[in-house]
Amino acid sequence: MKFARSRRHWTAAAAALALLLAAPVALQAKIDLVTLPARDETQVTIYKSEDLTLVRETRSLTFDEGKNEIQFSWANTLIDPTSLQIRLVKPSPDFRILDAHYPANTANTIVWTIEAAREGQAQVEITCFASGLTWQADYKAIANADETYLRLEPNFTIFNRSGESFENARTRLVVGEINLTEAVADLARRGIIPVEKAAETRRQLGRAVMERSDMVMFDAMSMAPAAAGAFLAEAKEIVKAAVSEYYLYSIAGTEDLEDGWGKQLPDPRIDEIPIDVSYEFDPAKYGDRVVKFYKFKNNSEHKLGEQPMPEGVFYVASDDGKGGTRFQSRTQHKYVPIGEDYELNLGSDGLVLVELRTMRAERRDLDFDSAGDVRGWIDLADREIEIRNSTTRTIPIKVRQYFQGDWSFDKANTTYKRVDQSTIEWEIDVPPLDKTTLSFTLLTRQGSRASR
Amino acid sequence: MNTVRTLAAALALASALAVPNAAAARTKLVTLPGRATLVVNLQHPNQSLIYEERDITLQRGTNHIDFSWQGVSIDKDSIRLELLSHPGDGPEASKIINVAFPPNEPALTWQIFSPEARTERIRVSYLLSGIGRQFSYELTVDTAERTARFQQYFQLSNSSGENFDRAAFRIAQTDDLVRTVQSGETRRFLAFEKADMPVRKLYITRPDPYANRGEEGEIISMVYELRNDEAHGLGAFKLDAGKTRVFGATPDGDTIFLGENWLPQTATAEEAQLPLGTVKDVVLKRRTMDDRRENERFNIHRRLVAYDRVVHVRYEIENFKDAESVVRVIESLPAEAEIGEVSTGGVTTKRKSAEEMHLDITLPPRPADATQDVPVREVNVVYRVRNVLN
Repeated sequence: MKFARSRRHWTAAAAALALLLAAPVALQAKIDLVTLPARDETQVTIYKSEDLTLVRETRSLTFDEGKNEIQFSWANTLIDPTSLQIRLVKPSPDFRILDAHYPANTANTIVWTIEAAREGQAQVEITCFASGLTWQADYKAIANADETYLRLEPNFTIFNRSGESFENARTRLVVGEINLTEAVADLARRGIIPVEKAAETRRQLGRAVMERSDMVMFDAMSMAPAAAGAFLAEAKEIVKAAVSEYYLYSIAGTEDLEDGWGKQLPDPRIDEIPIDVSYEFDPAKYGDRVVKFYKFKNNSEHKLGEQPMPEGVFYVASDDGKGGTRFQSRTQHKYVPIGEDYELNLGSDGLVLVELRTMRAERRDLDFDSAGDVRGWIDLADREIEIRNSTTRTIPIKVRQYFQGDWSFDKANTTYKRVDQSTIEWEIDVPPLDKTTLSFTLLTRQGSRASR
Repeated sequence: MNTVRTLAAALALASALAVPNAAAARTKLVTLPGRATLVVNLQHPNQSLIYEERDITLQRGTNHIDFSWQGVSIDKDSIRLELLSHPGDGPEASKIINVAFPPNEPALTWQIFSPEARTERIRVSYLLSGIGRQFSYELTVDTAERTARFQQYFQLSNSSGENFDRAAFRIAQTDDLVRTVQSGETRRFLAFEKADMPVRKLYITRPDPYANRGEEGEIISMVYELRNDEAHGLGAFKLDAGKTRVFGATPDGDTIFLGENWLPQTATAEEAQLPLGTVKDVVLKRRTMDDRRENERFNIHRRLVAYDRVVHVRYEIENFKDAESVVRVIESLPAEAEIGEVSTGGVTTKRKSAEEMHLDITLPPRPADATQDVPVREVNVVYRVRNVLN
């Protein structure tokens, strides 16, 4: 949250933190605001797999001796009230957090009671879960005219629809599947709930999220950028680090995340990633189309491999040989761990065709039972798969075929791989402007001839 | 900014200088640079990639470039900015710091750093909806029907909402087509032309044994076959699917319309056939002369359980044309059929697959003497299907 720093949000009263002095009894709605403490730092950690943002901010508060009440309230923004936590940045025996309560008949408000042994200042950190901040990765991938290299331009875009603006916020993006028992937005809309249920919810959230977030926080703090103000002239560096099962992208310096706006932060592009062009024919996945792919690995050989790459949309283009680019495909790609393959699906280019034919069929080896009825036989089929390459380069192609029942190959003119009991796969190269024919005899045992 | 958008109607690119944040940049327009280059790349079958180059003036430090659009459909995530004059990562390079997307409006703002005040050529590219394209063809065959003039047309329908003023429309077949195309306008370009392209004329029939056409005869289609390769004056690019109108040259130098059909997408080295009409001067009757069981096997209750099937098909063909004709009969077969006897002499056969056999039957011209009957050519095919299960 941004606590009433901007004029706009000050008037909108999106979230406010007030220090209420000497409130000896239950909070009264009309208690005057005494001070509005300045915010020292805001940090947002935005998760990708859930609508979840961990917001953490620190403020310096001045306490009077005795009990002090800290009121935190918000409006027009979705905060899970069960997630609100306060702690002293530097624990001191002079200041003690006694309790927190949610005033009756006052929505979206929490009041913490802090006991001070003396008058003095202490820095507190407030954390909460908020909804409405999301981020996505997308990639522009441009191949050279020969389709031997790829330039990759990753972008990270943050969308802020939380109802709250964040200025000068240290921003971190988390990749990974996190477990939530309840959506933050639902919890925020529901407001505070009965104690026994709230406690359970808090426990669950605490286990599932908070501990992990704390791990992330610890790591990120250690690599926090030095001076945000000094960083004006360059594109922001995005520092990546592994944390448990997650991957953390920390954006150097601070960012203004205006409510309603999206903000895209380009990661440095990677030039000349060597790629392989290949094709696939797989009726189960692509129907009767031959699909073209750009393939490379997330490893050092391909100038990558320093971190896993988040899922995202790839806009793939290639040099059109006339000083421009031609659009190839818009394709979603899954999260790619270090060392894993990238397979950018470009769709069909219409230049590689596959034709399936049965050249001969025969029913043989009829088996008769004692009554003279046919109880089994063998179907034989000579089949061909003709692959025609209209491109001017040798193309590698993977062909898959599926067979049911008790089948076997009697002969095949090319090496193949049996993927599972119903799948055969060929991987071959087809010369330019030429064709290759895969041929085999398929024997399918029926009835009493079948053994599986 | 608002004034500029109204004037520009569809797309506006504005440079705002030295403003502290994105929101402010959107209200402090300084310059509206004109387009230096505008390319519409239509090489993808259904996506249109636009890229335009403009010269913008950058101040030293941080600059904001505002890009907005109205009345057009742009894939926002596809928008890409390249800095052409000072690219790279060095200290002299201009650099994109971030991109901001304002709420509830089609716009974005690039924050660009420049180490000095200077002019920068930028290229903005994006995917734009609403540009329809389709190919069509014209084939004008000579009187001998051996060659044809082949013309490929490219039709562009601009319903994108954007006016393209002297834009370079880029397709694979030809050099850039520099044209002005207003929104709502449709234009047709000649994209490719080839004279004297060899074509092959075929008569093709696919007899349907269950149609019982009897004395009426089978339907024979007149087909032009062309091949997308160098020998036929093509082969430089894939032929996209499109309606093809075929005209025939008349002896007096005029042309007549012979028919039309859809040319399928045809890759390099592939052939394509254009069925155009029905042939009336060649008559083919298909008769099943025999369809019997052999090698019958019965169970102990004398019920037939398996047999071999032997089929005898006869084609009777008459050529009423005054020229030799070749008819291709495409006979559908049971996959297990073993071909036995086939007539020879002027007949070539090819088993294209287990389920299909092609017979190319050459027919002499009709007798020159009109008083003589046109001879009936008989072609016989016998096939056997073993182990039919009852």
